[in-house]
Amino acid sequence: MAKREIPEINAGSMADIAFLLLIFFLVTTTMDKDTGILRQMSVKIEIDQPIDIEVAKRNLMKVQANSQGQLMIRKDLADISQIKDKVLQFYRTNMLDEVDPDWPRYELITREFCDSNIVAIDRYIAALGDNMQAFVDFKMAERKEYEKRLKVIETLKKSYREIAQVAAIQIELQTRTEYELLISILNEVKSAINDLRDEKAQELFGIAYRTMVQQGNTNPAKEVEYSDKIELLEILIPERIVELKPADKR
Amino acid sequence: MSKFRKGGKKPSPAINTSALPDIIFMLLFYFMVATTSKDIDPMVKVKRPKSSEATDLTPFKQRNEIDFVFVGLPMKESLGDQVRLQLDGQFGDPENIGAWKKLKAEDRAKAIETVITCLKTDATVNYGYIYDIREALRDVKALLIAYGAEQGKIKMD
Repeated sequence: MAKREIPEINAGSMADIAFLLLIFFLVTTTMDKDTGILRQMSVKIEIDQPIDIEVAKRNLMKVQANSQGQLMIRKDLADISQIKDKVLQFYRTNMLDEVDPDWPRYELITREFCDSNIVAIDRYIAALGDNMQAFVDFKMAERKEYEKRLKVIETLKKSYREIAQVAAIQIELQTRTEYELLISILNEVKSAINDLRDEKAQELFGIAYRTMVQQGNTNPAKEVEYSDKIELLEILIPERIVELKPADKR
Repeated sequence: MSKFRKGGKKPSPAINTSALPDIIFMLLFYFMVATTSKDIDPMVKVKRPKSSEATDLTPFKQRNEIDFVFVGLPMKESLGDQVRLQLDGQFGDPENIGAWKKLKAEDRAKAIETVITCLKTDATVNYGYIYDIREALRDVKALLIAYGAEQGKIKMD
Protein backbone atom coordinates (compact mmCIF):
# COMPACT_ATOMS: atom_id res chain seq x y z
CA MET A 1 0.00 0.00 0.00
CA ALA A 2 1.28 3.37 -0.86
CA LYS A 3 1.91 5.74 2.05
CA ARG A 4 -0.69 8.46 2.39
CA GLU A 5 0.97 11.84 2.48
CA ILE A 6 0.14 13.77 5.63
CA PRO A 7 -1.08 17.22 4.67
CA GLU A 8 0.91 20.08 6.17
CA ILE A 9 -0.90 22.13 8.80
CA ASN A 10 -1.43 25.67 7.69
CA ALA A 11 0.47 27.93 10.09
CA GLY A 12 -0.53 31.13 8.39
CA SER A 13 -2.75 32.25 11.25
CA MET A 14 -0.07 31.69 13.90
CA ALA A 15 0.95 35.32 13.58
CA ASP A 16 -2.62 36.42 14.22
CA ILE A 17 -2.82 34.35 17.38
CA ALA A 18 0.47 35.79 18.62
CA PHE A 19 -0.76 39.28 17.80
CA LEU A 20 -3.86 38.70 19.83
CA LEU A 21 -1.81 37.60 22.86
CA LEU A 22 0.55 40.52 22.41
CA ILE A 23 -2.28 43.01 22.38
CA PHE A 24 -3.80 41.40 25.45
CA PHE A 25 -0.56 41.88 27.38
CA LEU A 26 -0.15 45.41 26.12
CA VAL A 27 -3.56 46.33 27.48
CA THR A 28 -3.45 44.62 30.86
CA THR A 29 0.03 45.61 32.01
CA THR A 30 1.84 48.78 32.90
CA MET A 31 5.42 49.77 32.33
CA ASP A 32 5.91 52.05 35.31
CA LYS A 33 7.91 50.74 38.21
CA ASP A 34 6.87 51.41 41.77
CA THR A 35 9.48 53.87 42.85
CA GLY A 36 9.38 56.43 45.60
CA ILE A 37 11.10 58.11 48.49
CA LEU A 38 10.77 56.07 51.64
CA ARG A 39 10.12 57.93 54.88
CA GLN A 40 9.77 56.78 58.45
CA MET A 41 7.38 58.92 60.47
CA SER A 42 7.70 59.44 64.19
CA VAL A 43 5.39 57.88 66.75
CA LYS A 44 2.61 60.03 68.11
CA ILE A 45 2.52 60.19 71.88
CA GLU A 46 -0.50 61.60 73.68
CA ILE A 47 0.50 63.76 76.61
CA ASP A 48 -1.53 66.15 78.70
CA GLN A 49 1.00 68.91 78.86
CA PRO A 50 3.18 69.56 75.86
CA ILE A 51 6.82 69.85 76.78
CA ASP A 52 8.85 72.50 75.03
CA ILE A 53 12.25 71.17 74.22
CA GLU A 54 14.79 73.84 73.58
CA VAL A 55 17.17 72.87 70.80
CA ALA A 56 20.16 75.05 70.10
CA LYS A 57 19.87 76.89 66.79
CA ARG A 58 23.14 75.47 65.56
CA ASN A 59 21.67 71.97 65.55
CA LEU A 60 18.78 72.78 63.25
CA MET A 61 18.47 73.45 59.59
CA LYS A 62 15.07 74.62 58.57
CA VAL A 63 14.09 74.53 54.93
CA GLN A 64 10.93 76.51 54.28
CA ALA A 65 8.94 76.80 51.07
CA ASN A 66 5.82 78.79 50.33
CA SER A 67 3.01 78.24 47.86
CA GLN A 68 4.78 80.29 45.19
CA GLY A 69 7.72 77.91 45.25
CA GLN A 70 10.10 80.30 46.98
CA LEU A 71 12.60 78.78 49.37
CA MET A 72 14.34 79.78 52.57
CA ILE A 73 17.16 77.90 54.24
CA ARG A 74 17.88 78.99 57.78
CA LYS A 75 15.91 82.18 57.12
CA ASP A 76 17.92 83.08 54.03
CA LEU A 77 16.31 83.19 50.62
CA ALA A 78 17.70 80.32 48.62
CA ASP A 79 17.46 78.30 45.48
CA ILE A 80 16.59 74.62 45.24
CA SER A 81 20.09 73.82 43.97
CA GLN A 82 21.62 75.29 47.14
CA ILE A 83 19.97 72.78 49.47
CA LYS A 84 22.46 70.03 48.74
CA ASP A 85 25.49 72.17 49.54
CA LYS A 86 23.88 73.41 52.74
CA VAL A 87 23.11 69.88 53.91
CA LEU A 88 26.67 68.82 53.17
CA GLN A 89 27.90 71.81 55.16
CA PHE A 90 25.50 70.89 57.97
CA TYR A 91 27.08 67.47 58.31
CA ARG A 92 30.67 68.23 57.40
CA THR A 93 31.59 71.42 59.23
CA ASN A 94 32.33 69.92 62.63
CA MET A 95 32.70 66.31 61.53
CA LEU A 96 36.38 65.95 62.32
CA ASP A 97 36.91 68.81 64.72
CA GLU A 98 34.85 71.52 66.35
CA VAL A 99 35.39 74.36 63.89
CA ASP A 100 32.31 76.51 63.64
CA PRO A 101 29.86 77.07 66.52
CA ASP A 102 27.15 77.88 64.00
CA TRP A 103 26.82 74.29 62.76
CA PRO A 104 25.87 71.10 64.63
CA ARG A 105 28.04 69.80 67.41
CA TYR A 106 29.60 66.36 67.07
CA GLU A 107 29.74 64.00 70.02
CA LEU A 108 32.32 61.34 70.70
CA ILE A 109 30.47 58.04 71.10
CA THR A 110 32.36 55.71 73.41
CA ARG A 111 31.47 52.38 74.92
CA GLU A 112 31.11 53.91 78.40
CA PHE A 113 28.80 56.60 77.02
CA CYS A 114 26.44 54.01 75.52
CA ASP A 115 26.53 51.77 78.59
CA SER A 116 25.69 54.57 80.97
CA ASN A 117 22.82 55.71 78.76
CA ILE A 118 21.36 52.22 78.59
CA VAL A 119 21.48 51.98 82.36
CA ALA A 120 19.77 55.37 82.66
CA ILE A 121 17.02 54.32 80.26
CA ASP A 122 16.43 51.06 82.11
CA ARG A 123 16.07 52.99 85.34
CA TYR A 124 13.68 55.44 83.70
CA ILE A 125 11.48 52.64 82.35
CA ALA A 126 11.40 50.92 85.74
CA ALA A 127 10.24 54.15 87.35
CA LEU A 128 7.41 54.65 84.84
CA GLY A 129 3.90 53.54 85.71
CA ASP A 130 2.03 50.77 83.93
CA ASN A 131 -0.26 53.16 82.08
CA MET A 132 2.61 54.79 80.24
CA GLN A 133 3.02 52.14 77.57
CA ALA A 134 3.60 54.71 74.81
CA PHE A 135 6.51 56.17 76.74
CA VAL A 136 7.95 52.74 77.41
CA ASP A 137 7.87 51.93 73.69
CA PHE A 138 9.52 55.23 72.95
CA LYS A 139 12.29 54.64 75.46
CA MET A 140 12.81 51.08 74.30
CA ALA A 141 13.38 52.37 70.76
CA GLU A 142 15.96 54.75 72.16
CA ARG A 143 17.63 51.90 74.01
CA LYS A 144 17.85 49.94 70.78
CA GLU A 145 19.66 52.87 69.20
CA TYR A 146 22.35 52.70 71.87
CA GLU A 147 22.71 48.96 71.38
CA LYS A 148 23.24 49.57 67.67
CA ARG A 149 25.91 52.16 68.48
CA LEU A 150 27.70 49.66 70.69
CA LYS A 151 27.72 47.26 67.77
CA VAL A 152 29.25 49.94 65.56
CA ILE A 153 32.02 50.58 68.09
CA GLU A 154 32.69 46.86 68.11
CA THR A 155 32.91 46.69 64.32
CA LEU A 156 35.09 49.78 64.01
CA LYS A 157 37.08 48.75 67.09
CA LYS A 158 37.16 52.35 68.26
CA SER A 159 34.84 55.12 69.38
CA TYR A 160 33.55 57.45 66.71
CA ARG A 161 32.13 60.94 66.29
CA GLU A 162 28.45 61.30 65.64
CA ILE A 163 26.39 64.36 64.87
CA ALA A 164 24.41 65.67 67.87
CA GLN A 165 21.31 63.58 68.45
CA VAL A 166 19.04 66.59 68.30
CA ALA A 167 20.49 67.75 64.99
CA ALA A 168 17.76 67.63 62.38
CA ILE A 169 16.78 68.95 59.02
CA GLN A 170 13.31 70.42 59.24
CA ILE A 171 11.08 70.89 56.25
CA GLU A 172 8.29 73.39 56.69
CA LEU A 173 5.92 73.97 53.80
CA GLN A 174 2.63 75.77 53.44
CA THR A 175 -0.73 74.13 52.85
CA ARG A 176 -0.76 75.24 49.22
CA THR A 177 2.80 74.23 48.40
CA GLU A 178 2.81 71.67 45.61
CA TYR A 179 3.80 68.04 46.11
CA GLU A 180 6.41 68.35 43.39
CA LEU A 181 8.36 70.87 45.47
CA LEU A 182 8.31 68.58 48.50
CA ILE A 183 9.78 65.83 46.36
CA SER A 184 12.52 68.07 44.97
CA ILE A 185 13.49 69.23 48.47
CA LEU A 186 13.55 65.68 49.82
CA ASN A 187 15.48 64.62 46.75
CA GLU A 188 18.21 67.18 47.37
CA VAL A 189 18.51 66.36 51.06
CA LYS A 190 18.59 62.62 50.42
CA SER A 191 21.12 63.02 47.67
CA ALA A 192 23.46 64.93 50.02
CA ILE A 193 23.13 62.29 52.73
CA ASN A 194 23.65 59.46 50.24
CA ASP A 195 26.78 61.22 48.97
CA LEU A 196 28.16 61.35 52.51
CA ARG A 197 27.34 57.68 53.02
CA ASP A 198 28.95 56.81 49.69
CA GLU A 199 32.15 58.53 50.81
CA LYS A 200 32.17 56.78 54.16
CA ALA A 201 31.45 53.42 52.56
CA GLN A 202 34.27 53.85 50.07
CA GLU A 203 36.61 54.63 52.95
CA LEU A 204 35.50 51.67 55.09
CA PHE A 205 34.52 48.95 52.62
CA GLY A 206 35.68 50.17 49.22
CA ILE A 207 32.18 50.11 47.75
CA ALA A 208 29.60 52.88 47.45
CA TYR A 209 26.53 52.92 49.68
CA ARG A 210 24.20 53.47 46.74
CA THR A 211 25.71 50.48 44.94
CA MET A 212 25.14 48.27 47.96
CA VAL A 213 21.53 49.35 48.28
CA GLN A 214 20.90 48.88 44.59
CA GLN A 215 22.50 45.46 44.40
CA GLY A 216 20.70 44.41 47.56
CA ASN A 217 17.42 45.38 45.95
CA THR A 218 17.81 43.08 43.00
CA ASN A 219 19.70 40.23 44.59
CA PRO A 220 18.50 38.62 47.84
CA ALA A 221 21.90 37.06 48.53
CA LYS A 222 23.60 40.45 48.29
CA GLU A 223 20.96 41.97 50.51
CA VAL A 224 21.95 39.61 53.32
CA GLU A 225 25.62 40.25 52.69
CA TYR A 226 25.31 44.04 52.78
CA SER A 227 22.64 44.53 55.42
CA ASP A 228 25.15 44.91 58.28
CA LYS A 229 27.24 47.40 56.37
CA ILE A 230 24.20 49.43 55.35
CA GLU A 231 22.99 49.51 58.94
CA LEU A 232 26.40 50.67 60.14
CA LEU A 233 26.48 53.51 57.63
CA GLU A 234 22.99 54.58 58.58
CA ILE A 235 24.15 54.98 62.18
CA LEU A 236 27.39 56.75 61.30
CA ILE A 237 25.54 59.25 59.12
CA PRO A 238 22.00 59.38 60.45
CA GLU A 239 19.23 60.79 58.35
CA ARG A 240 17.00 62.98 60.47
CA ILE A 241 14.48 64.74 58.32
CA VAL A 242 11.45 66.15 60.09
CA GLU A 243 8.39 67.37 58.24
CA LEU A 244 6.71 70.09 60.25
CA LYS A 245 3.08 71.02 60.32
CA PRO A 246 2.34 73.50 57.52
CA ALA A 247 3.00 77.00 58.78
CA ASP A 248 -0.45 78.34 57.86
CA LYS A 249 -2.50 75.40 59.10
CA ARG A 250 -5.03 76.10 61.82
CA MET B 1 11.87 44.88 -30.34
CA SER B 2 9.75 42.30 -28.77
CA LYS B 3 12.73 40.37 -27.56
CA PHE B 4 12.78 42.17 -24.20
CA ARG B 5 9.09 42.70 -23.76
CA LYS B 6 7.25 39.67 -22.67
CA GLY B 7 3.54 39.60 -22.92
CA GLY B 8 1.62 40.64 -19.78
CA LYS B 9 2.99 41.67 -16.34
CA LYS B 10 5.07 39.22 -14.40
CA PRO B 11 3.53 38.70 -10.90
CA SER B 12 5.91 39.74 -8.09
CA PRO B 13 6.91 36.82 -5.86
CA ALA B 14 5.03 36.54 -2.53
CA ILE B 15 7.00 37.67 0.52
CA ASN B 16 7.83 34.82 2.83
CA THR B 17 5.89 35.45 6.03
CA SER B 18 6.75 32.24 7.82
CA ALA B 19 9.03 34.14 10.24
CA LEU B 20 6.32 36.61 11.19
CA PRO B 21 4.95 34.53 14.11
CA ASP B 22 8.45 34.31 15.53
CA ILE B 23 8.87 38.05 15.43
CA ILE B 24 5.53 38.63 17.11
CA PHE B 25 6.30 36.03 19.76
CA MET B 26 9.54 37.79 20.49
CA LEU B 27 7.67 41.06 21.03
CA LEU B 28 5.14 39.23 23.18
CA PHE B 29 7.81 37.77 25.44
CA TYR B 30 9.52 41.11 25.75
CA PHE B 31 6.33 42.74 27.00
CA MET B 32 5.54 39.84 29.31
CA VAL B 33 8.92 40.23 31.00
CA ALA B 34 9.26 44.00 31.00
CA THR B 35 5.85 44.95 32.37
CA THR B 36 3.92 44.30 35.53
CA SER B 37 0.24 43.57 35.66
CA LYS B 38 -2.18 46.33 36.50
CA ASP B 39 -4.27 45.26 39.45
CA ILE B 40 -6.48 48.28 39.68
CA ASP B 41 -7.56 50.82 37.15
CA PRO B 42 -6.68 54.31 38.28
CA MET B 43 -9.68 56.50 38.98
CA VAL B 44 -7.69 59.65 39.62
CA LYS B 45 -5.21 61.44 37.39
CA VAL B 46 -1.66 60.99 38.61
CA LYS B 47 1.38 62.53 36.99
CA ARG B 48 4.25 61.68 39.28
CA PRO B 49 7.11 64.11 39.85
CA LYS B 50 10.66 63.01 39.10
CA SER B 51 13.38 62.34 41.62
CA SER B 52 16.86 60.97 41.11
CA GLU B 53 16.95 59.54 44.65
CA ALA B 54 13.74 57.59 44.36
CA THR B 55 14.36 53.94 45.13
CA ASP B 56 12.69 50.89 43.74
CA LEU B 57 10.12 49.75 46.26
CA THR B 58 9.30 46.36 44.80
CA PRO B 59 12.37 44.85 43.27
CA PHE B 60 12.00 41.19 44.16
CA LYS B 61 9.79 41.64 47.14
CA GLN B 62 6.11 40.99 46.80
CA ARG B 63 4.10 43.85 45.43
CA ASN B 64 1.32 42.95 47.79
CA GLU B 65 3.44 43.94 50.75
CA ILE B 66 2.75 47.55 49.88
CA ASP B 67 -0.53 49.43 50.06
CA PHE B 68 -0.93 51.75 47.12
CA VAL B 69 -2.92 54.92 47.48
CA PHE B 70 -3.53 57.22 44.53
CA VAL B 71 -3.98 60.92 45.18
CA GLY B 72 -5.23 63.29 42.50
CA LEU B 73 -8.17 64.79 40.68
CA PRO B 74 -10.89 62.36 39.53
CA MET B 75 -10.54 61.22 35.92
CA LYS B 76 -14.16 61.97 35.14
CA GLU B 77 -14.95 65.62 35.50
CA SER B 78 -18.50 64.80 36.56
CA LEU B 79 -17.07 63.39 39.80
CA GLY B 80 -15.98 66.78 41.03
CA ASP B 81 -12.92 68.98 40.87
CA GLN B 82 -11.63 68.21 44.34
CA VAL B 83 -8.52 66.17 44.99
CA ARG B 84 -9.52 62.69 46.18
CA LEU B 85 -7.86 59.52 47.38
CA GLN B 86 -8.28 56.22 45.65
CA LEU B 87 -8.32 53.40 48.15
CA ASP B 88 -8.39 50.22 46.06
CA GLY B 89 -11.46 50.66 43.90
CA GLN B 90 -13.10 53.42 45.88
CA PHE B 91 -12.86 57.13 46.35
CA GLY B 92 -11.97 58.29 49.82
CA ASP B 93 -10.80 61.21 51.92
CA PRO B 94 -7.93 61.46 54.40
CA GLU B 95 -10.34 60.61 57.24
CA ASN B 96 -11.04 57.18 55.70
CA ILE B 97 -7.48 56.07 55.23
CA GLY B 98 -6.93 54.96 58.83
CA ALA B 99 -9.86 52.54 58.82
CA TRP B 100 -8.85 51.28 55.40
CA LYS B 101 -5.27 50.61 56.55
CA LYS B 102 -6.53 48.70 59.55
CA LEU B 103 -8.71 46.51 57.35
CA LYS B 104 -5.81 45.83 55.00
CA ALA B 105 -3.55 44.90 57.91
CA GLU B 106 -6.17 42.47 59.21
CA ASP B 107 -6.53 40.84 55.79
CA ARG B 108 -2.82 40.40 55.59
CA ALA B 109 -2.36 39.28 59.19
CA LYS B 110 0.72 41.48 59.41
CA ALA B 111 1.53 44.23 61.86
CA ILE B 112 0.39 47.58 60.52
CA GLU B 113 3.81 49.10 61.29
CA THR B 114 5.62 46.89 58.80
CA VAL B 115 3.54 47.58 55.72
CA ILE B 116 4.63 50.47 53.52
CA THR B 117 1.97 52.88 52.34
CA CYS B 118 2.91 54.25 48.95
CA LEU B 119 1.29 57.55 48.08
CA LYS B 120 1.17 57.88 44.32
CA THR B 121 0.47 61.54 44.24
CA ASP B 122 -0.04 63.95 41.39
CA ALA B 123 2.69 66.60 41.20
CA THR B 124 0.24 69.47 41.69
CA VAL B 125 -1.51 68.23 44.85
CA ASN B 126 -1.23 70.64 47.78
CA TYR B 127 0.98 69.78 50.74
CA GLY B 128 -1.84 70.47 53.19
CA TYR B 129 -3.74 67.49 51.80
CA ILE B 130 -0.71 65.24 52.10
CA TYR B 131 -0.14 66.40 55.64
CA ASP B 132 -3.71 65.34 56.52
CA ILE B 133 -3.01 61.88 55.11
CA ARG B 134 0.24 61.68 57.08
CA GLU B 135 -1.48 62.55 60.32
CA ALA B 136 -4.27 60.03 59.68
CA LEU B 137 -1.65 57.33 59.08
CA ARG B 138 0.30 58.27 62.20
CA ASP B 139 -2.89 57.95 64.23
CA VAL B 140 -3.15 54.26 63.29
CA LYS B 141 0.62 53.75 63.69
CA ALA B 142 1.25 53.10 60.01
CA LEU B 143 4.56 54.90 60.15
CA LEU B 144 6.28 53.74 56.97
CA ILE B 145 5.29 55.78 53.98
CA ALA B 146 6.73 56.25 50.54
CA TYR B 147 6.25 59.35 48.48
CA GLY B 148 5.74 58.06 44.97
CA ALA B 149 8.11 59.58 42.46
CA GLU B 150 9.50 58.58 39.12
CA GLN B 151 13.18 57.81 38.84
CA GLY B 152 14.94 60.45 36.84
CA LYS B 153 16.74 63.75 36.88
CA ILE B 154 14.86 66.79 38.09
CA LYS B 155 15.15 69.65 35.69
CA MET B 156 15.97 72.89 37.38
CA ASP B 157 14.88 76.14 35.90
